Amino acid sequence: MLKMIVMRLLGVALVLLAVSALVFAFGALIPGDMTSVIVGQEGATQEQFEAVRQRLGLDKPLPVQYVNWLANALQGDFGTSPITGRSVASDLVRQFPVSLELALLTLLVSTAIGLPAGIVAAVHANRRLDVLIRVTLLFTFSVPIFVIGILLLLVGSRWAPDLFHVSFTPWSEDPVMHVRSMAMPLLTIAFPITAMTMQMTRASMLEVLHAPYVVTARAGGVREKRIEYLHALRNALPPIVTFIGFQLGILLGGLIVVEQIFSLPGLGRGMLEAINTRDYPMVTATTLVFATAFVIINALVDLLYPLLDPRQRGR
Amino acid sequence: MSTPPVLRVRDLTTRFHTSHGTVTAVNGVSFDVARGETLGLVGESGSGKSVTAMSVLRLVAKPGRIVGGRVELNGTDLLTLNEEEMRQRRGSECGMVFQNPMTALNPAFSVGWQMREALTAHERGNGTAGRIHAALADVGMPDPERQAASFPHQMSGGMRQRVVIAMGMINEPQLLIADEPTTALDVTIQAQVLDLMKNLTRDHGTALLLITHNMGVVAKMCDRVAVMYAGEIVEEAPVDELFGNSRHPYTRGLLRSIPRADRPRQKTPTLPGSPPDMSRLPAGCRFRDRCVFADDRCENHPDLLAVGARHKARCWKTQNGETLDETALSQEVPHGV
Amino acid sequence: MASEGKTPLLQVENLKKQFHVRSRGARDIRLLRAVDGVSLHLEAGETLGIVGESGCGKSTLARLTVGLLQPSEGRVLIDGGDIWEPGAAGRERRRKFQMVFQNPSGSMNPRRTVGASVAEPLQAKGVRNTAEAVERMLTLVGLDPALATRKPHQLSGGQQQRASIARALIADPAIVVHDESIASLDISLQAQILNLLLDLQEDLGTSYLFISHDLAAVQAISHRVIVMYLGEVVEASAAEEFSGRPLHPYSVALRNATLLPDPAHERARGDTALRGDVPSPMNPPSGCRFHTRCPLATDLCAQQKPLLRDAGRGHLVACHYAEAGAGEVATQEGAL
Repeated sequence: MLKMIVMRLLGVALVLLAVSALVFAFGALIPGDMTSVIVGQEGATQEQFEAVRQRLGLDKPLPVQYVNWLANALQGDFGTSPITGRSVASDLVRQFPVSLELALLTLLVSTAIGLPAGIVAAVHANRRLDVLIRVTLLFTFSVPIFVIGILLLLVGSRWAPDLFHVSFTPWSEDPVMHVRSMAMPLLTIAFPITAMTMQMTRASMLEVLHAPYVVTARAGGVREKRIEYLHALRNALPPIVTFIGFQLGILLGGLIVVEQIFSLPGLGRGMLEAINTRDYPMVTATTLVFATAFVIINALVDLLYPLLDPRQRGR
Repeated sequence: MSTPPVLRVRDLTTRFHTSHGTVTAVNGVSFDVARGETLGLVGESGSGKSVTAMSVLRLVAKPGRIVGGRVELNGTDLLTLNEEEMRQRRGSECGMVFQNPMTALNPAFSVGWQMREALTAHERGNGTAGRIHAALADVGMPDPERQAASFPHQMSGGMRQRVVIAMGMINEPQLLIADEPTTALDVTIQAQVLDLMKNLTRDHGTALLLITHNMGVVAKMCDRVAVMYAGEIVEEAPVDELFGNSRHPYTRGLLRSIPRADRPRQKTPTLPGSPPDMSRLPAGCRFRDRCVFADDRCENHPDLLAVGARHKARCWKTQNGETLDETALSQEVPHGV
Repeated sequence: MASEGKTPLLQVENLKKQFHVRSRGARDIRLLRAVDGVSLHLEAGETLGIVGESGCGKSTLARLTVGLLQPSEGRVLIDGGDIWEPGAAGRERRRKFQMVFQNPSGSMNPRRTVGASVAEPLQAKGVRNTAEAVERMLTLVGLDPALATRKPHQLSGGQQQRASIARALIADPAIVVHDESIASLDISLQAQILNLLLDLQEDLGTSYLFISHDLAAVQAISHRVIVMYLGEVVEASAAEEFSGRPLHPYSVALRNATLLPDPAHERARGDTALRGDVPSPMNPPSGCRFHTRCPLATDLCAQQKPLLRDAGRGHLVACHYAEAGAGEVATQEGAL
């Protein structure tokens, strides 16, 4: 077991190294570099240009640039943004908690609703309750996030202005206002994710509800509810957990949209801004944070697997 | 005759409603199983033998539905019970053993946990650990404490089937239904499991309803045999009578068409044709198309009637006291369909 | 094993196949010796039956023989030529085999017609006009030639297996390997197919390698029988000799476990089951691989591997004690 964890962590480290190289390569291969952003396109002499390149180390060969960049990144130094003049790391530290909070809350809400909804839908497969659950949730899934967000924004500010607060307030400033300001973005993104969790749970449950061992339990007189919510669910869980881990990747994309609509100062919005202003250090750093989060979550899910499925524990 | 049978099935009919039409998988089936007796329910795939077994415990999956008849277990008609009353009888009055031990146990839970479920489902929670270990020891599992803690995937197929049998027997039911219990096992393991089931049911006086297609298994295990063809019982007799003096052409042909391990290379007499499509059954006797004895009478559907002491057959010819002439069966049948 | 002077049609020499297996959950990779030094031969027009339980390596042997798998060691020779000789010669030799599988519906392309599937081996040989041959073949295996235009799922299981046999025979192969080809059929159909195979062999002179777990079926069709256990041959004999006098304790156990449709006989037999499970082929027992389950085993069996030796009349057996008490089948008269 310990050996497995160590192996897995080694794997994570290797994947992250590959990801960092890829992210760096993208940054370096995009036409135009930071120099032009700093110096400006017009009016600069070749000498000024070269001086800046030298200062930033852009005259060195790419592998050297990568090693330098990685060494700094490992120490938490992602350089300084040529646009804002601030250190990239300090921006990330500010943005990260906002996005993390939104992502975790979304997973929490979507699982808390989607999982039981999926189970109930599967148990009542093709009957009224199942149809009701699926129609409701899948309807929200088929509407794009930005439409839901804008609708919520309109409806919320009109009919329940006290419930929602539109401009972001940090927790440290005013906890109540903070909760109110996060509620609407959360609702927006939680709808489609919940629908996905429900659908996945339903499919996974339906598969195990027809397994021979379920018939064995039934023939042994085990109560139907116990068969459904214990015997079957335990076997349906592994793929669902994997899927929920995977949803984080989808969530990260969703954050960009939601943070934009609700003006949340998170990573997604920061990234969009950085892309618009060609803030290379900021874009690479944010991408790396997203990728790292994704890889780590999936590794955690893998480590959870033996707990859920005894067959993965070895002999 | 004196003691009532443990299981009495009368006119059991189970239908499957699909988009392709209605199939009557079990059509008016009747039989008894007495205490301590083993009844073999024999047939080929599609004969309705498994559906019959599942119907007894009301475990037929949709789109199947029991549409008529009575299933009396210890004197109570199961088809009149509500769902909770039915649940209480599953496992406690009737245990079940399934065909494939590789899938019949839940992979996520230990063997001991699953056996405890079978016990506590009937509120017999006291002394469970001891009873589980005893039940595992009963089916010949070495080191029951350790086995109870292990998971199904850590066991061989034979061991898993022992566990399934132990689970089926743990509440000491009066009836055990075994649906092709050894079909998925290797022959040397099959022999172990059959010996075990035979000894267990004998020691506990359990009635056994054994579903199988294997005539060798029937010969080894059964006291009486009911042969099913196309959803009906076509013959029923004590085992020696059935093998020695079968009075239905299907049974006769089936028995002759089994290759034997104690014979050298030779042609085996065959039954021509194949079982009918259950959604398009022929009128009259359902075996008519494959029967070398068929005549005009067979255009009417025969009933299952006595042809001797404790011997019934669904055949016009034998019901009128005529014999099935072996030479007619032996005639060279081209191997066409 | 081959008789002197004449080259047999098929010769398998010391065939071995190892797989690297990672068992579920385990991190280490282990060696599975699926087939471990098997030699056999097959003459023209002959049927060799191979019987054994799961894990004995019979299916791997089938795939090695027809050239679907490449052996780790050893050779497969047809008419004296290696089927793995590089280039056209080896390819040509591998074409002399056909195989019939257990599951007829899985071995035919569900989107092509039965006729098209049956014609495949002929087309592979470059024959253009196959319609006539397909019709002749379907008739030969007892199918209505009109079925050629149907899709496999429109046929019953027995019809599908007949079509598979037609496909196997259409290009006039020297050898057809049957891997559990009747196992998934109903009993009344099994006998039909066995008889069909006997008739076809008489008409066409094809050789069969008939691989099955069912000793009764193997006896019904084979001229000679080989018994396998954990990747090795434990007994090889003429079928008639074998049915009267199985020598290896495992063969005897297999015979005793193969139930006869005879109630008096089965009741008299009592409990004759072999104890224990088949050991894992990843970790086979020392010495004689059967010694962990054998009623005759002594210390010698755990230490020294018995070699295949002639016990008279060309009856080969790998057992130290084959003559001393083995070969006793629970008979009609008395039980063991």
